[in-house]
Amino acid sequence: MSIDLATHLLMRGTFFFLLLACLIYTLLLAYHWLTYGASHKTTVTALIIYLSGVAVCFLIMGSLVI
Amino acid sequence: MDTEQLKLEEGESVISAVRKHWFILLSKTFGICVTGVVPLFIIVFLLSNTHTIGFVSEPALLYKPAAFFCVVWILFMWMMFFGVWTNYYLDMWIITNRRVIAIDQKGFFRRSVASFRFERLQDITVEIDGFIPTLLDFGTVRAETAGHSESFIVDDIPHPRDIKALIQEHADQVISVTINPNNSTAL
Repeated sequence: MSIDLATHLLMRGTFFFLLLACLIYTLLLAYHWLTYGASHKTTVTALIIYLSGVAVCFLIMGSLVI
Repeated sequence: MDTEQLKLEEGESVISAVRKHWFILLSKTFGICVTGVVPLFIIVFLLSNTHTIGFVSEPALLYKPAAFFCVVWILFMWMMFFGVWTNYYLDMWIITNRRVIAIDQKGFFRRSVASFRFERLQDITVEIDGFIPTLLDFGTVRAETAGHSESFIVDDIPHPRDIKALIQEHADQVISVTINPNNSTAL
């Protein structure tokens, strides 16, 4: 039993669209933290936490799509 | 102190850096958590009751897409939380021994940095409005300065009366030095 092709294509399309959107958002976020962040240590910690959460989400989505 | 990238004048030192009260971040985070979790419960409820609702012949077919879109939703909420955290972290008042630097971050594409020197300070007021702000001691500090038509306002900062006292203390020192330069050891 498997999901139909249209649903699979929708999920795959969403996945790659989100990958692109998230990349742009991450670049914006990192730029702000690195440029205006008052402490380098806090900036690095925040970006690591953010990227960890994003990576977990994409790993789960990727395992469901690919 | 978290101000290592700040460009200060010679002889200027940071006395205090204040961000909004933690309750503001907590309330926004709580809102995001509720917005993030409620749709997931609805999806799980619908999937576990497909036989009673009867809109799908094979419910097992929906598990994978439902799980996928749940993760998409969680990712949105995660990104939104970091947007809120970024605004919270980058929005601050820095009090030095010569001036106050007000940094106002509104979203990713709007940021204003303004400062006023203690010599120009005319009046400073504190406003604590509401039950929770009174309980947790946070509120608004408004500084009126000479030459500026708009006031410098910072909302929801912790211990606003202490901040006011700190600014006034240093403003008094600066003014005493201006009047009598022999008091310059105070700065």
